[in-house]
Amino acid sequence: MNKSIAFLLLAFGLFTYGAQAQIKLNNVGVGVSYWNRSYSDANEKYVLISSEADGDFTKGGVMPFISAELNLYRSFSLDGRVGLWTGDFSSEGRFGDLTISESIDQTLIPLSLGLTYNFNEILRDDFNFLVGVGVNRYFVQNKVSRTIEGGAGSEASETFSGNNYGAYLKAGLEYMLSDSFGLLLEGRYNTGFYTQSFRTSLDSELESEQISVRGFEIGLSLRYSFLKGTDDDDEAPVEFE
Amino acid sequence: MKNQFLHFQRRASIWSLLLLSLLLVNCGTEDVDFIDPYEFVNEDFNDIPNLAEIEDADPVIIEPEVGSVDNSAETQAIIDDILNAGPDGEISQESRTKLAGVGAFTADLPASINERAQTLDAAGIASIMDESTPLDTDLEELSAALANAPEEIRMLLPRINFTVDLEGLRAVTNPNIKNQVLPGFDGFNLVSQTISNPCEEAAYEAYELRIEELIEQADANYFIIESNYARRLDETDVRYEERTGLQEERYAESKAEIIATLENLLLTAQQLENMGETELAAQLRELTLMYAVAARNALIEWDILVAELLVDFMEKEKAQALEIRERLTTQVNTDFETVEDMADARLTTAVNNCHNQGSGN
Repeated sequence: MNKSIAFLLLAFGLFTYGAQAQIKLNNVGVGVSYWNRSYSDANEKYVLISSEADGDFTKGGVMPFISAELNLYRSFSLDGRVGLWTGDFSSEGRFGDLTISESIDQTLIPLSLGLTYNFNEILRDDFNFLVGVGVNRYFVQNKVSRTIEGGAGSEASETFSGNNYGAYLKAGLEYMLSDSFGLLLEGRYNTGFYTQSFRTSLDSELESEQISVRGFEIGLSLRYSFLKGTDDDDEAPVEFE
Repeated sequence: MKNQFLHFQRRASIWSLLLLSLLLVNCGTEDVDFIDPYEFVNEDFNDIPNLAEIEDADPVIIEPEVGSVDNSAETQAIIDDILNAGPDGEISQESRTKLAGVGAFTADLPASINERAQTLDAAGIASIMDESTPLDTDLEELSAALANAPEEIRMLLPRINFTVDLEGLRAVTNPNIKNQVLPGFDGFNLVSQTISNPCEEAAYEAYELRIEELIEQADANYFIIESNYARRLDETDVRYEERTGLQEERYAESKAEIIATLENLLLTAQQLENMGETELAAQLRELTLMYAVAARNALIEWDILVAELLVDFMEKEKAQALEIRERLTTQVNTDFETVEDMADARLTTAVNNCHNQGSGN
């Protein structure tokens, strides 16, 4: 997954300069959001010792992200985004004289690609509105450790990775600070899960549980638009070679 | 130059989004693994004591004292007196007095009874002693008269030798086994809860492992109790059959001895005839008839009483076996409940230790 992220960052680095053509780069952006995972399904604590996996679950975290939007046809555009969400989960249990602590340091990278419809210059010239829907791919990395106080069995941090798909719906309102820069307030609802495999005892069969990642997200980003001040006539059509 | 740069950017932009698309779709999903579970070892239940093997010693079996039907010693004395006297000998006054008493008793009876007595022979004796053949009217009347005969007459007749068991027979209230509720094993009320984490699972595994051992020990005790109970019932039935067989043998022996005495009485009467003691001979034949009827009645009554006694002993022995089974089963149940309570308490403690020790983010 690290290799994928490197490719991704490289790709977005190349977005830093806009261009217009038959397929035009609308904008690129950088921002931060608060993603609050909340549901009553199984969560990360399900596999931890002394966990209480049932009941309502809420886990929020600030997520930086970068984004880009490619115009497809008139007000329709292709929207891409990658973020970085982290969270810690821990649990402690007692067993006789033993105190057993387990923790998961989780890194969750939602990679999004979707369709956006832009309502430009609504109400006033400097306000744009957008709605969108798309696919998320969640890259999950869990660093798991176990500490046993009063006995043997501690385990140093061990990293496990996986991924799965989900979806999102979004809506946003952008205020244009200038011809090129805009401030976007955007809300999303993310769905999906990843599959956690585990064993309940050393000699038991491998079990799996779907860990949900559902939750609302609200974010603020600064976007640079390539649309203003660009003369379409100067641009040659994009050639695919 | 400017156009070349823009061209490069366009291509870079397109390829970047294509790459982003590929990252979304180019490979399948992957599950996230987890570290191996902690191997819990719970020794909380190891010092719960084992169930002791049940001691189920067989009860002491006491054979019933069934008594007997005995010949009359006084009649035998008369026979001996007469037979030992010889043709010219003197018959004792005592014997004469006893036979005179017989004569006085029979004088009040119908003449037909006396006539039956004077013609009594071995075939007649066999007929009277055949319990399957009912007595005729004369003999029924004689039987009724004998029931109310004075003691000096009854002393000349065979009688039942009542033992303590026979005397107490009718005072015994037999246990009604059929209506008794048999003790049983209804299954143990084991703790059953929803296990929610590995710590609890380890506690339950250790608990169930120990409980299974204790159940096996209890089952072994139940097996001892049940098998001994079944064996004792079988042995009781066998003993009943053996005692019944012995009683049949005793009955036959007693009957044979009485018939021999009756035949001796007939011979003795003939001896008196030969001695010219016609009146004594007639009285002795009357005594013989009375003796035969009384012996028949005594044998039948005795056999019925002994049969009741044997059934009573059989039921008592079965009730005793049942009581042992019930007592020991209750003991095993109680012993198990004691250790089960200990295990339950330790399980609760272990599970509580697993709970509420902190979890969360």
